[in-house]
Amino acid sequence: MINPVSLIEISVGAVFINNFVLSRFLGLCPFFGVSKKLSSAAGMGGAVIFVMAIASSFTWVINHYILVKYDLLYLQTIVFILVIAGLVQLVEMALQKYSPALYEALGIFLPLITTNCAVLGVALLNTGVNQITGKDYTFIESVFNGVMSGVGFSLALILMAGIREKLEFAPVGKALEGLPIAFITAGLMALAFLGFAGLNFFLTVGG
Amino acid sequence: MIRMTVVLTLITCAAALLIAFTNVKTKDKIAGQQAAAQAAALQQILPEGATVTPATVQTDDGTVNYWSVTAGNETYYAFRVGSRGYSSTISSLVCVDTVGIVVGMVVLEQSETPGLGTRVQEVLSKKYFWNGLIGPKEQAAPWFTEQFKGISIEKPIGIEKTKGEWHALSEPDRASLKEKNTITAITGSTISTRAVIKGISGKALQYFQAVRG
Amino acid sequence: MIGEELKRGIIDENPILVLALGLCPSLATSTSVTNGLGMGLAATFVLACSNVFVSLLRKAIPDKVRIPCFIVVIATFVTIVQLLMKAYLPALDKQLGIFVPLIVVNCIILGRAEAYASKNNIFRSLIDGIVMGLGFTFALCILSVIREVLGSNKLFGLKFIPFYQPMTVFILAPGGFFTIAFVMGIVRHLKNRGKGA
Repeated sequence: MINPVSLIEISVGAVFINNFVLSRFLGLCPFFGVSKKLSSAAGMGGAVIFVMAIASSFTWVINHYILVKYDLLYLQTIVFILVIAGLVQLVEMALQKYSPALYEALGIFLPLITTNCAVLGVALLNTGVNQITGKDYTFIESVFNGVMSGVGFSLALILMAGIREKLEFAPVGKALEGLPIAFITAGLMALAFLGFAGLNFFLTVGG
Repeated sequence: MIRMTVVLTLITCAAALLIAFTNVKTKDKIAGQQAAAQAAALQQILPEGATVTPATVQTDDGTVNYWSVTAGNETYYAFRVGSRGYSSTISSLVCVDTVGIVVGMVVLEQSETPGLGTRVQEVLSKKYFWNGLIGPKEQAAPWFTEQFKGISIEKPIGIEKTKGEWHALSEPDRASLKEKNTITAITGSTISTRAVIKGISGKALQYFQAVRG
Repeated sequence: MIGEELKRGIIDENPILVLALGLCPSLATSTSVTNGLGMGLAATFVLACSNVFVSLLRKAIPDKVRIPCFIVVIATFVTIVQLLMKAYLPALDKQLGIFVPLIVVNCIILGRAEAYASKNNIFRSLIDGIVMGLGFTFALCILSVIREVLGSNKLFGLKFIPFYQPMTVFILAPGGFFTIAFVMGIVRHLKNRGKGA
C-alpha cells in the first residue's frame, strides 16, 4: 500500500527538483514579503508546512470521496479554497486557546497563508497523476507531498532571508533596491536549483 | 451572529446555483472537446480511410484500452502509451500493423525542457512572425515521430547520434537507418528521445503482443 | 475620468510592476504572449465581475465574515471562467494549467475587493476592476514578449529574429525572475527620474 520509492522521490522532488517557489512559482507573494528577517522566515516556514500538511489531507479526502465520486469536479476550486480558509481559521482559534506559545510564534502568519497560492496549489497538484507510479496520488503520498512542498518552500524562504539580511548592507542601485534585487537573487537561486532537474533515483513508469 | 451565517449561506447558495448553471451549459461541449482531441490525434497517425473501433485487451497492467483499425483489407492496432521522460510523463499514440511495424506515431502530451525535450513535438516551420500571421497555415508533421514510420517495435530500436537529425538527412541515409531499425536522437536531448522509444518498445510492444495473442 | 483611471491602473498603480501583487501567475504564465494575454484577460474578467458583485452586496455583508464572502464570490467567477475556457479554449486551458483555478488566490482580486469594491459604488468598482485588470494584462504582455522572444525566438508561436539562437533560460524559472527584476527596475528608475528631476 505504501510505496517507499514513490515517497522518497516525492520528497526529493518537492524540495529540490520542483521547488515550489524557485521552480513552480507558487507562494511568491509571502516569499518576498516575509523574507526580510531570518526569524520571521523561520516562523512563516513552520506555519506553511503545518497548513499544507492539514490542507493536503483534508482536500484529498474530500476530493476522493465526494467530488470524484459524485461527478462534482467543477466545484473543486470553490470547495478547496473554502476548506482551506475554514481550516486555517479553526487552526488559528485552536492554537490561540490551547497553545498560546505556538500561537505567538505562528499566529500572525496564518491568515496570510490562506491566500497563499502554494497551499491551494499543492491541494490541486495532489488531484493530478503521480508521475512516479503513473497512478493517482494516494492519501499518504498526498500528505507527504504537502509536507515536503512546505519544507521546500521553507528552505527557499530561509535561504532567501539569509541572503537578504546581508543585502541590506550592500550598495545596490536606487532603481533596483528592495524588490528588484530580491528578484534577481531569487533568479540566481532558481538557476542553482535548475541543476537538480532530471534527478531521479529509480526508473519506474515505462520501464 | 445569525445574520453572518444567513448572509454567508445565501451567498454560497447563489454561488452554487450560478456554477451549476454554467456547468450544465458547458458540460457537453467540454466532453465533446476531449473526444474531438482524441479523434484528431488518431487521425494524424492512421492510414487513409481507416475505420476505428475501440477495444480492450487483458495485459499485465490490467485491462488496457486500445483501438482496432481497419483500412481496406488491412488491420492495424493503435495504442496510447506513457513513459517517464526527463521532467514529465510523455504520452504518445502509436499505430502498428499486424507484424509490429509502425504506421504512424505522434506525441500527445509532454512537459519536457523547452527547446530541448519539447522538440519531440516540434514541427519545423520556415515561416517567420511577419509572414506567418497572414497566409495559409503550414501542415507539416513533427519530424521526430515521422521518422518512426517503418520501424519495427519487435526488434530493438537503435539511436543514431552522429549523423545529425532526421529532417536534415538525405533519402539514402534515411533508408539505411530504417534498415538498421534506428532513429536519430534530438541533439542534446537523449533522455527525452529514449523515453519516447521506451514507450513504444516497452508498453506498446507489451500491449501489441497481448492483442496478437 | 476614464482616461485618468486607465493611467492609474496601467502605469501609476500597475498591480505587478508597482504594487507587486499577483506575482505567482505573472511569472508562471509569461512564457509566451498567448499565455500571458489569456491569463490577463481571464483575470480581468474575474476581477471586474467580483468587484461589481462585492460592491453590490457591500451593505449586506457583515464585517466579520467579509473575507469568506469575498472568497465565495471570487471563486464562483473563477469556476465560471474555468468552465468556459475548458469548453471554448481547451488548448489555452492546458497551457495555463493550475494557474486558472489559482486566480482565486490572486492577491490583486482579493486586495481590490477589500480595498476598493467594498467601499465604493458599483460603477466605480467596475471601472476599477477593468483598469486594474488591464494593467495586469499589460504588464503580463511586456514580460511575455521579452521572455518569448529572448527565450524561444518566437512571437505568438512563430519565429521572430533570423539567425538567433534563443537563450532557453528565459522561458525557464530563473528567466522569469530576471525579467521581472529588470522590468521593475526600469519602471522604478523612470518613476524616480520623473519625481526627483
